[in-house]
Amino acid sequence: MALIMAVAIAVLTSCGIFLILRKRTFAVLLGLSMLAYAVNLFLFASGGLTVGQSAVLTQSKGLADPLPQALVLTAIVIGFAMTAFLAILAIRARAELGHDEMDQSQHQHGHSSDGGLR
Amino acid sequence: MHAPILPLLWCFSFALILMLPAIKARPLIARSLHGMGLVGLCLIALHLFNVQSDYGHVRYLLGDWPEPFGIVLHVDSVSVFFVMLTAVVALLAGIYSVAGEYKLGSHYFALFHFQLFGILGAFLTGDLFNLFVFFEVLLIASYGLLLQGGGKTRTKAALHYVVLNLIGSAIFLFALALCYAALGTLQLNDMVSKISDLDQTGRHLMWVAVGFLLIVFALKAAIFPLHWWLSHTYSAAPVAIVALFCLMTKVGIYSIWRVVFSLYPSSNVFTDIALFGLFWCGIIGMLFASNAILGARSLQLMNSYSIGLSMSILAVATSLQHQGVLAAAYLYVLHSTLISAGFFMLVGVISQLRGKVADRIVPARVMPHQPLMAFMFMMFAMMLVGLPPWSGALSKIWLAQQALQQQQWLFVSLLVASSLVMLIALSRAGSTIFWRAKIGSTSSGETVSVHNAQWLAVGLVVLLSLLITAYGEFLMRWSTNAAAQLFGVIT
Repeated sequence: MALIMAVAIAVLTSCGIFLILRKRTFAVLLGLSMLAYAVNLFLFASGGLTVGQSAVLTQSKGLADPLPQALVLTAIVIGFAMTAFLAILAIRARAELGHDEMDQSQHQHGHSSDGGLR
Repeated sequence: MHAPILPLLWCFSFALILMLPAIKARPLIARSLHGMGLVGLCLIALHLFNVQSDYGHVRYLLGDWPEPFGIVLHVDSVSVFFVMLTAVVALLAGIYSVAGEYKLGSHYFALFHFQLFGILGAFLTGDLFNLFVFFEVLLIASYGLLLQGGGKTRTKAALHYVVLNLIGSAIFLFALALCYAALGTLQLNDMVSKISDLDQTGRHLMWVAVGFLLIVFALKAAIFPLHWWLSHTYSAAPVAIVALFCLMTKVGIYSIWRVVFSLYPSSNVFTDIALFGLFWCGIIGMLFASNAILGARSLQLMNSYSIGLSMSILAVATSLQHQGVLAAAYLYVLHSTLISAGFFMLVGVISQLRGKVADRIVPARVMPHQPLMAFMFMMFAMMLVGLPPWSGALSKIWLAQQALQQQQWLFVSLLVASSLVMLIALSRAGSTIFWRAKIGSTSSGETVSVHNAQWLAVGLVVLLSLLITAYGEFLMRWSTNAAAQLFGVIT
């Protein structure tokens, strides 16, 4: 159980980091989502891994730690909102900059620099 | 005794009210509500200060859940200091934004108050997971504010800023999970009390967790290897927004003071490594920022780098772990936040008057109100450098004096050298912009005027800087007390 969990978190994290280092915004977006999944699993595991325990307080003997579940819920909601925002921003950047690369300077395309602030 | 939650409720309700379509459609009402919210926030901050000085240390239990289980808001002299600073800077930026910048986007005012909600929450909360939530609130508001008005530069800056902060949030969550796994709680006071009786494994987990937290907060505070986003973001944002953003880096340094130092399992090898790292990152950051200030090609960029410089100075001051140095660092935070926000607003006025050339440091036509602007620029340059009648002199000299008592020759000499660099860069910028202006060819036809609100905002900064000097003794006593309180947690 612990091994499966650890392997899953490790694979997700490393894929996430690899994708974040890519230069297209879409890959970066995917990478951030994977990192978010890894984080959620990691948070979930932080309360200790238990099998077959009730999640809510009942008459039964054992119960799973409820706090990490609440934390994961919050983290999922926030991560989802942020990813959605980034997706919209990436689409807008694609429209405004004319390419979907994270860090392309304007000069490489032969455009003049966009004046004013830089 | 509901004072600790008042500022949060106040900002949140104003954010909601300002989102209503009926109010957004009437700019006059929206502007007056915006102003009312910010003035009210200053009064609330004052009230919180009174409560804090009466009771010393206030803990507010949300929903009245008993201590280790519920979320607490935590008010001591450190958080009150930052709440008051936030209220004042927000008022100044708010006054400036009323002049016309709010027309950039339709949710400008609502996002402004959401941002304040997040910043104040981060300063007041006594729970680590709650701190994460408030970080996200202030970040998502700042993404929206940064994009006000759109444009290529802003979109690109925002893309980098959002991705970096999302990675930061992921690391923050990893750190929180490690803390929870080691200690079984995320409430700061509870964590501090449990950290001393950890076994070897738990202690190792906490080292990693605190290391992660330090990385996240250093990213927020723009300390050396993680400072690259700062100049791009701050030079691309609208003027009043960037004045408000000056507070965000302070959230990072506040979190380092509050969280990281209280979580260190007293003195061990790891503490030494972290402090050593913070010290040298700060020193390299100071060198880097001074260099960048000399090379900056626009005033807004120059001021962004000067924020980087002050954050590096604060990082070094933090790493010295000495009560006197920390007290001086308080006064320095007060001065640098206020003055850099003010300088951003002055630069906004200058680039508005210069038209197309904006704030680039090149000779151009004589601008309207040239003599007054030149005089204002000189005053602000003196404030930023830290020359005598202004607040910078007091805070920098005190910081240098305290650091000298600790035999920190490298830090003090760099502090003095970086001030000299600022002086050179600012006098070169000023003489290029004001003295090498082409006389006789005033801009053709178009009349640019400066809104009264903009004058008011910039004038208030000058006044406040003088007041800091005038009430220096009171402020020094107060920040000594605040540092003592924080140090009670540290040691």
